[in-house]
Amino acid sequence: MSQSLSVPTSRQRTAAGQAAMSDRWFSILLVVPAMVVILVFALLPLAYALDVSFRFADLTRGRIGDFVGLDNYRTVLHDKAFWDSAWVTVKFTLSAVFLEMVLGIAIAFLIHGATVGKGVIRSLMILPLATSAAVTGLFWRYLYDTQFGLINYFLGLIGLPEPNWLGDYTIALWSVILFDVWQWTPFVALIALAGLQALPKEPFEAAELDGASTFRILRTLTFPMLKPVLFLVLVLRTIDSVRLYDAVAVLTRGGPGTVTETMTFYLYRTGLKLFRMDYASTMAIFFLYAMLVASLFALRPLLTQFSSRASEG
Amino acid sequence: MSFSQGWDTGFRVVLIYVGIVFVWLGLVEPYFASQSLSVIVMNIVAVAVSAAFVVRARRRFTDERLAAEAEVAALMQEDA
Repeated sequence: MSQSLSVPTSRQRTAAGQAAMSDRWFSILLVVPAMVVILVFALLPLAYALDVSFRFADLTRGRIGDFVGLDNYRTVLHDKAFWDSAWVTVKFTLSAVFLEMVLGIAIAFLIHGATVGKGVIRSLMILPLATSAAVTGLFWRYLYDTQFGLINYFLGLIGLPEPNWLGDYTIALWSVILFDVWQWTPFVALIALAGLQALPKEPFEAAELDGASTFRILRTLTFPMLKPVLFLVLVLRTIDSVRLYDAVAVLTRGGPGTVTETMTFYLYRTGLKLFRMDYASTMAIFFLYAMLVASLFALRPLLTQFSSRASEG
Repeated sequence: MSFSQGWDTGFRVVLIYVGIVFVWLGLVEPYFASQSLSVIVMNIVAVAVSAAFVVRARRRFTDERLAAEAEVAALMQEDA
């Protein structure tokens, strides 16, 4: 194929410049609606929260008060309850995400290997995801009930102790974790299953012909090829778990005491129960900052992988 | 430095600055007798660290650009 090089005339250059200019304005025009939505629904509230975080804002006094500099940040950063809630959030996130990933991947492998009923199982797995956590949380509150709950009924039938799932401070957090695992394991399983089904068959057939063991195939083929999908699910579930609010609000309201009080629930309690919007806004800014830094680190390997793939392509 | 590199660096500088403020208020400030002195020192430290980050990023981008240009030049020489 031959290519000819020609020097553009000044008129052609002007026309090309105008076309490029119009393309540029057209692309800006396409982005504007999304930017307006982001500005109105994300950036303006953020700017307002930032403003409130530098003011005295006890709503029981009736108005947003004077500028107090960094005092709210000092108070929040030295607030033991805030750090306790952060620790509860970390414990919840690590435990729930770990269990969801392990169980989800295991279920995905089981469904992938099943010969009949795949469609039915997949449809059933969507049910917990399709229902709001506020609704399923109420069901689980009745399941956990010490007097009328089904869980304690069956435990009693087989002669096991019947714990106070939501009232005992040693197991209340685990009860919330169990609920979250029940609700979100299908999400991990469905995404992992989609990843498994999208894998090419040839490398696996070649490995089987070469006599590779199942463990070796898993270690050297399946998991490395599934890694991007699993990593994405891990990041999504971690971000969602850190934001946990609805399950706590419906099941325990942060109790007994504050053993299940996550950062978001503490923030809600400070802002909308104690009416200290200044501390609540400060916590929200701190929370946003922590999430930004965490996602920057978490997404780095994924973005590197995407960019290296793009340059290879 | 291109616009996207500048944007990315600017975003990280904001994160570094805010991070230093949080760490300072939480861990370092209790050791200062005067709060206003602490805030002045905190801002000096934050500006210094942020400026160092910008200089480092700028140097990295320049090095990357020079390496890419050298690679292109070598490829063109191979073709010629």
